[in-house]
Amino acid sequence: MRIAMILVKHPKSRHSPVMPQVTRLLREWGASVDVVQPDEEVTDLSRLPEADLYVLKSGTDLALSLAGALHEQGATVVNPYPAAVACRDKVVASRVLQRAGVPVPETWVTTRPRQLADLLEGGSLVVKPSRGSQGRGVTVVHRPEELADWPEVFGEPLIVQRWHRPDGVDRKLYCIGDQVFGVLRTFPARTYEDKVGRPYPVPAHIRDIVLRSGAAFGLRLFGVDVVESDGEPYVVDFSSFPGFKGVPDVALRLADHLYECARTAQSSGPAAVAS
Amino acid sequence: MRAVVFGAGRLGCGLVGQALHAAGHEVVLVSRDPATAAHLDRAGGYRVRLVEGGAATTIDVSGVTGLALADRAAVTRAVAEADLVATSVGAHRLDGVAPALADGVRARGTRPLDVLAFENGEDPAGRLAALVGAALEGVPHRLGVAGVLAERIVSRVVGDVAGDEPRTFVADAAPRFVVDATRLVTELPHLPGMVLAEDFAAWVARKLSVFSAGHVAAAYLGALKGYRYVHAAVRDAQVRTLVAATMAEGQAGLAARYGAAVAGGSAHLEQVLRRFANAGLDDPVHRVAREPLRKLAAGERIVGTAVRAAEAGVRPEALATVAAAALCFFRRTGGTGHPAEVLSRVSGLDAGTELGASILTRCTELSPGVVPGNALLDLERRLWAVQAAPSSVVVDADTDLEVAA
Repeated sequence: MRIAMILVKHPKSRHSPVMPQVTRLLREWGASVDVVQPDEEVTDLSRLPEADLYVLKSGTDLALSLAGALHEQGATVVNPYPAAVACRDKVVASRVLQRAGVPVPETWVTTRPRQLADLLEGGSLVVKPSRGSQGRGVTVVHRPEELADWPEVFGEPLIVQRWHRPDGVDRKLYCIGDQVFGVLRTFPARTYEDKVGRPYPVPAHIRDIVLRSGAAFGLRLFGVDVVESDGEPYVVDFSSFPGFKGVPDVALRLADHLYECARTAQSSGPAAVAS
Repeated sequence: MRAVVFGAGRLGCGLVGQALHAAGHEVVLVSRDPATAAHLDRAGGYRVRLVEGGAATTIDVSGVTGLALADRAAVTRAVAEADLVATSVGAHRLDGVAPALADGVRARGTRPLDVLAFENGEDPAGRLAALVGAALEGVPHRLGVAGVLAERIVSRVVGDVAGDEPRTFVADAAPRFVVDATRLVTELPHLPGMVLAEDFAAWVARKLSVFSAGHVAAAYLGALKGYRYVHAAVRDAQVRTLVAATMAEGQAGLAARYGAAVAGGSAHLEQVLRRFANAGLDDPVHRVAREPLRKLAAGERIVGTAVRAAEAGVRPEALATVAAAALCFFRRTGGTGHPAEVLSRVSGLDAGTELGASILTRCTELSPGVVPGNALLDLERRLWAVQAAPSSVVVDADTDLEVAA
């Protein structure tokens, strides 16, 4: 069984032990695992490693492009390239979720933030770059005068959502296969322990929302941020193959899932693998 | 030397045929599937791939003849000329091979023959001997039918009987098989891995109470915690601890009945745990866990082992948890009925017994979280990934126990 991991190299200061553990487990279980870090090396496009399964963990432009190239040649990629690309663009992702009946806040898109003033009459707004991640550039706007600091035309598309005051701490929901895991997390996270958070049993109605969100993209490895406001849940972010921090035994669970994906791909071909 | 093996399935090829071939026998494999028999004949044999983690050794089993069971004349002739016969057809299919075997034995006259029955279940060798004996009533013959306990796990077959290439049987490296020496009528040739045992019943009990109990413990606890493969389940610290405790309880019962040597020590437990962790076996949790009611039956690997441990003065707490997990698995896979009623029906244990009460209490603790897609995050704290529905718990009027509705 051959597996290729497409990974991003984190700086040494960032503690991210999960994927090395997953790689170690898969090797212990007899898989031959190649680690590809396309942003760290020169990759010969005609000599990509042969594998039964490609695991797309990196979200960089080059990693996505390589996943696209592999997808085009019929390889099994988890998560699949089309879904990973769709998730990366919050405009696309929000519309996919809306159409699937997932509760998302009212959503607008623009490159002209100053024109949001009228919308503020209906309540505060969250403004975020459409291709941002990990909270980068997320701003909550309460009053029209706060928009004066923004440029007339922003350099990239912005996604704007109605802000709902959270009832409590952040709820991170993760899905591995058919299992949903909840993690409560302090925001802003200051330490690694803050980032890891603590597991909490997910209520059934939230689990349904999480699974519906994943089904909208055809994914089984993903994360969802849910805000509960006045008891109403809203999905405010969706990520393909996140870090799953705070899920107990996460490396073991991920390795178990990826082993099954690789075994299925090996014996039945790419079409049989649902990421 | 010539050997006939009835059954060209996983164990028949992956262990029996390979051991006989390694000992220099010319192997005839008899299959009820004509296509399998023809393929073996065409390919001249098959391969056995022995795996342990990333390491693998491939053995060619060549010079094999395939015969269809329906080709009665050829099968009769093969048995008549054989030095040794083995079966590996599944205990419920012994009725199908007994007539052909009887014909062959009849053709031998009084030339003695031993049949090694690589079958599971309750005294399959005795049953096969009775079936053949009935067919040969009044005919002089000398036949020994000995039960065999195989340790090897042959997990899968790669290849297609429609093609010309030999198929590959993937197995773990365990070579040992234990033969009930008390039933033999000839002196068997040396076969690699063969142990001749005078106390065969003790070996059967040992496999059931240690290996089989530990294997299903890993599967049922692994299923609760949401793992797909046994090799992943036993990497979970809580599952591993409970699997080891399950097997230790099994050993305690064995030691009291058969002595410490049969029970084995901690080194044996470690060796068995290493086998469960062997991903080369590709053991899906759901395959090992299937038929939970059969595995919960009185005298079987869970309840039978627990009863024996209790008789030895050891509280079978880990086994009670495994039994509860098996009941949860039964429910999760569509089984219905009150847990107390199900347990009583399949194992004869009711809530009035200490073991029955212990199993049902654990079942009550676990049941509310047992819904499809829910994983138990922490066995000790009973922490589930998805909130258990309080409405699914009711109190049983007879036992005052909370049970899943």
